Amino acid sequence: MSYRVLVVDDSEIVRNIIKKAINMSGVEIQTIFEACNGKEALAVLDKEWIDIVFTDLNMPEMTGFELVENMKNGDLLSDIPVVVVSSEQSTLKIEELLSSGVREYIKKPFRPEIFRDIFSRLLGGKK
Amino acid sequence: MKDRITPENLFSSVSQVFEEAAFNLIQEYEEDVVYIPQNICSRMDFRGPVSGTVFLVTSPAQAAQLAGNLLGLDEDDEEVMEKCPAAVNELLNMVVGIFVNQVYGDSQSYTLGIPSLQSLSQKDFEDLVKRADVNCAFIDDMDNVFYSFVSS
Repeated sequence: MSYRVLVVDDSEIVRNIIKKAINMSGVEIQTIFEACNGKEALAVLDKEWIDIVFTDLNMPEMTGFELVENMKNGDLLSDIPVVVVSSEQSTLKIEELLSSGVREYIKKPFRPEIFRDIFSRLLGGKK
Repeated sequence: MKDRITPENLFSSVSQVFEEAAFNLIQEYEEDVVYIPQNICSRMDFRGPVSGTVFLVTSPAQAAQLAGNLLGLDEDDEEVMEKCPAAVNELLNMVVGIFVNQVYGDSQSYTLGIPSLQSLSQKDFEDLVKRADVNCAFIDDMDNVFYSFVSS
């Protein structure tokens, strides 16, 4: 079971931190794709098979929230789990995201173990 | 709500982020605030029932240590040197997420800005110290002194 992951964030350093945490989590990874915003993420999703998406919220051109809306409306994309990774801590915002189709929410700062738990909860036994 | 913009809340937000994200243990620094030449200053706005800006001011040497720890690389690595400013921005982004939640509580709607960088002249730094509602000075386990301010 090795996964194809998409990490979406406008900050290269954050993408690197998330990739490092995923690689440290003990989950077997085939490829980690990257995108700088929701628009670039949709282009990657159009071309590549992706098992799970980790995305920021506030990004230029297309936000994480808009990415989730676009994925919900795409037949082939609506089943791909989306996890938001953000520094926003408000329960109100988290509830709003979860009710809009986001599957999990990771608050920054985070520990690598949280990624292992999320892969297990969302993809355990899928492949 | 403005009464929650306190040094205690700022200190706990900064120390949580520095410890958990950058493995950097910090304490309050009780000496006079002194200008850091060639500083890296990151600022980030928050908008809600009360609005303001949080600042984080570090030295390039400390920024390199923080970036190295964030990325799991040696602080002399070329990639680390290149990414120091972005690392300070990202640490401030995390600090503001925690701090603002302490100020607003769990159920308020608010908007966070995007962190941006500047280098403060001595005059800019002194003006910021004078006008800030909260001034916090820190020292880390490598004896780096750095500052965080909130202006609302």
